[in-house]
Amino acid sequence: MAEPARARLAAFEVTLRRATRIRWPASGVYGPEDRVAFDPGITDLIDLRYAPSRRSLGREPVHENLLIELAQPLSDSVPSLLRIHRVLYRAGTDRLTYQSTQVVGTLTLVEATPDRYVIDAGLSLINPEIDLEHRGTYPLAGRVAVPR
Amino acid sequence: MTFELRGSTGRSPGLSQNTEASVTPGKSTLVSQLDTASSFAPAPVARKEAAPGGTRAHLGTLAEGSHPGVQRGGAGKRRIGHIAGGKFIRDTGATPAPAPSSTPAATRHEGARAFVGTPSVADRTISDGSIAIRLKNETDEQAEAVATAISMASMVLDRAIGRLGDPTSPKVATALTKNFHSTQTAVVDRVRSTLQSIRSAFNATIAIEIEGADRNDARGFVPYEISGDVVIYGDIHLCPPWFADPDPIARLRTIIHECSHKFAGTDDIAYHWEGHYELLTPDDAVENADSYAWFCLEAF
Repeated sequence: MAEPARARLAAFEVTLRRATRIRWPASGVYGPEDRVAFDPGITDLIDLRYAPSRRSLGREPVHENLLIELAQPLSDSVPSLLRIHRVLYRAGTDRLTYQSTQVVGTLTLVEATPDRYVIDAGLSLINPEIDLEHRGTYPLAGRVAVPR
Repeated sequence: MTFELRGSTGRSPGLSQNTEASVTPGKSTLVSQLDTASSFAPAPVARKEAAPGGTRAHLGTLAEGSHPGVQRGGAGKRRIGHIAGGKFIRDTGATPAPAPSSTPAATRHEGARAFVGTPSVADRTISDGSIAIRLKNETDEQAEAVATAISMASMVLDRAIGRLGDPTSPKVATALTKNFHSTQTAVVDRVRSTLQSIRSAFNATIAIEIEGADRNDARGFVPYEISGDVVIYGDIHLCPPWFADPDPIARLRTIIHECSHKFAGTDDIAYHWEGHYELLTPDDAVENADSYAWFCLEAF
């Protein structure tokens, strides 16, 4: 994977939302005006977010949000490949311009310490449901530290 | 009379048609409730002829505090806060936009511009008698779309401010909880104050600049500049995706969103579509532009 893509995810703010899952709409697909909702779940949700302030840009910033539902809680995982249950990636300004719920690639837990999990991601978002700017397949990769 | 969302008459190629049929279910109720008693028309006194070549350059030197990289103009730029320690701090007593004077709109506008010399731009002011809109680089069809959205936004703001008179009503409490995550009095007061600041700006001339095809990355934006410790906001810019959006509610939402930047100094901390939106603290939510835009619609 290209180096710029590898560096990209490392710039995201990462939050571990324990025992949480995405509430999927009955249709199975979020519409562009739909707000993402969450429910209690039996596994963990990794919330990766890139949200620069407009005050540092002087213009409407593009925000990105990658939500990864894991197949089992991180606390039950050992360093190895992690199984992904579902993903939701959304990006845009006040107008959602890209959304995908399909991903290929790997998510690897490389380190688990009392403070954090270190995860190496090499993902490509595919078959976007919303792609107003014709991005197509979109790589997102990098090493991220997930605070426990 | 019923607010008319006009169809294809006079639309430029490529512009989406603003028909009620394009409004998603549930939104048609809102659209049908929006009434207006007047329609926008160009104010003849404000019409300026385009300079040859359509250049937007300003003649003469730049005014004090101006920046050549930021398009100037509009209903004026106001200091509403300052930066301290890397954080935006709203000045206490920041006043809403001034009420219109008795002078013609164009004259008021020119008097408020932050440049010296003669502007060489094609622009005009349109008014429905209560709201005046100063436009730059617009076509007639775009002027119509902007006027419609701003008129609707004005009514939605009035309704939201009125609804906050009873913040415990189920509809308002739900909208407050969903968008500001609190129904506490301090939050309600802050939301009301911000919405009133935005609405007050509609009593003066609102300046809108229309962007060309190269700005496809947003529906709209407000240029932003820091000069020393002063925060300066430019005009509201509307981009091709705003005009192409078939949903009139989304367009008026953008107007409220951008007006909250310009007239209330809000930030983009989280957009409504982000998972983080529901995690905003009330303190963050009252600084977040989309929180106001969506509250206004959900409280309607």
